[in-house]
Amino acid sequence: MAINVTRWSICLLVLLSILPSVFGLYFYLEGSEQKCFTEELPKETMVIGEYTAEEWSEEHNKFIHNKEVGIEVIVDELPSGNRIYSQKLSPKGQFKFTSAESGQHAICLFTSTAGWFSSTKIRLNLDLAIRDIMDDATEASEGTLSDLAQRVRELNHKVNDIRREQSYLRDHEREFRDKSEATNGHTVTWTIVQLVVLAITCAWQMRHLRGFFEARKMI
Amino acid sequence: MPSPLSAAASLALMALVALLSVSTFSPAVVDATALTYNVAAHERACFYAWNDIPKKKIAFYFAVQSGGSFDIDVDVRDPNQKQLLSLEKERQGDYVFTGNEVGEYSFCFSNDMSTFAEKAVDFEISIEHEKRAAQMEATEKGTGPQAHTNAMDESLFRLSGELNQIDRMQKYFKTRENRNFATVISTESRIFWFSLSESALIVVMSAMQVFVVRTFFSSGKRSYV
Repeated sequence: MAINVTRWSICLLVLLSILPSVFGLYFYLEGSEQKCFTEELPKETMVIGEYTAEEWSEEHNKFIHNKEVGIEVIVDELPSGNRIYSQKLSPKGQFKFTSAESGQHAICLFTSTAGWFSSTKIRLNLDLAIRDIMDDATEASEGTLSDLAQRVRELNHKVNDIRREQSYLRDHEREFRDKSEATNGHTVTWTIVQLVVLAITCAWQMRHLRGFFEARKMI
Repeated sequence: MPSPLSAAASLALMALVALLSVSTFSPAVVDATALTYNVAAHERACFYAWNDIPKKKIAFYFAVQSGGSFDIDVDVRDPNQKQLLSLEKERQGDYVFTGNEVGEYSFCFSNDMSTFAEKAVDFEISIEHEKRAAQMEATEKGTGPQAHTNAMDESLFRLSGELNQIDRMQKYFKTRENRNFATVISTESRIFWFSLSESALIVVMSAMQVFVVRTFFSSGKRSYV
């Protein structure tokens, strides 16, 4: 009984030492490795990213919060390559940017303090939230919201996400239909081109051979 | 092209997830993160989630949005490195695991099958956790509005479940639509190149025919005519 208790407490201690400070999705960055995520954003949409970075320290043998670590965030518009956001930030915090155009955006994160030869291992928790600017303006400032109000707000955000996704799908589908019709038109065009080439070749062949045989006085 | 069987399987899984989320008695809060990541050719990208209490439900959804034949290898492991899920060349999936162990769960995507195509994978990892004990106590202390609050709670929870289902269905349609788009682009390109090569072939063949006929008659062997 006593042994079980001590075993469990040891296990708990070990686990607590490697426990991340924030739960949620995380990944590891080695050295100056960069991880990029793509998001399809409509225009003038604010994206808020919350992240926490912890560095592996050999002496403590666990991930610790190190104030020296800097995280750099870069946001590029994918088709044009315009950089719309580039900031060096502290290891724990939030970054916000607003998309100018609608389209694919690439959000990249990497450590800015690691040099070429450093082998720091960083654990990065990340959570991206996409909000319409209009949404945020009308929301009341955060106080201590009751649990129910919080959940209703979450549901509202979710509904907005669904609507945003739907309008993206509608635009994309329109593009798809245009492309389908263009392809259908091209099938006809290229077949006609082929027929024309065939006819011309046939005519040339006949004419050439007739000229050849007439010259030999065989026709 | 996903077979009707796998489509039915994924729909069944979605229904199961909805059922599980609605049937639990105490209201649960879900911690979810959805991201889209480009897995380069021959890359293995891993994402992790921490489970602090045993028996929490971990939901994992992924769908390949673009690239190659829209498939990817998936490997999910529990904190003891035991494999919970191993898929090869899978297009999309929606799975729920019970996190029996406390620790780091890893979700890895590998793109070994592509020589140069990079795959964009849309994935969502969510861990369901119960409302904190203190909060539960606070709500139990109130007497008057308690009944109303509980009814509100239940309906909010059901609403959340339904909205999640709508979200899932939308994601499924988006993925399929992306594939259809890629198919049409490929069709257009094929029509163009095949027409061009056929025309070139016709011209070459006709020139060759003329040349061969000429050689029959011009090598000076009049007797063969």
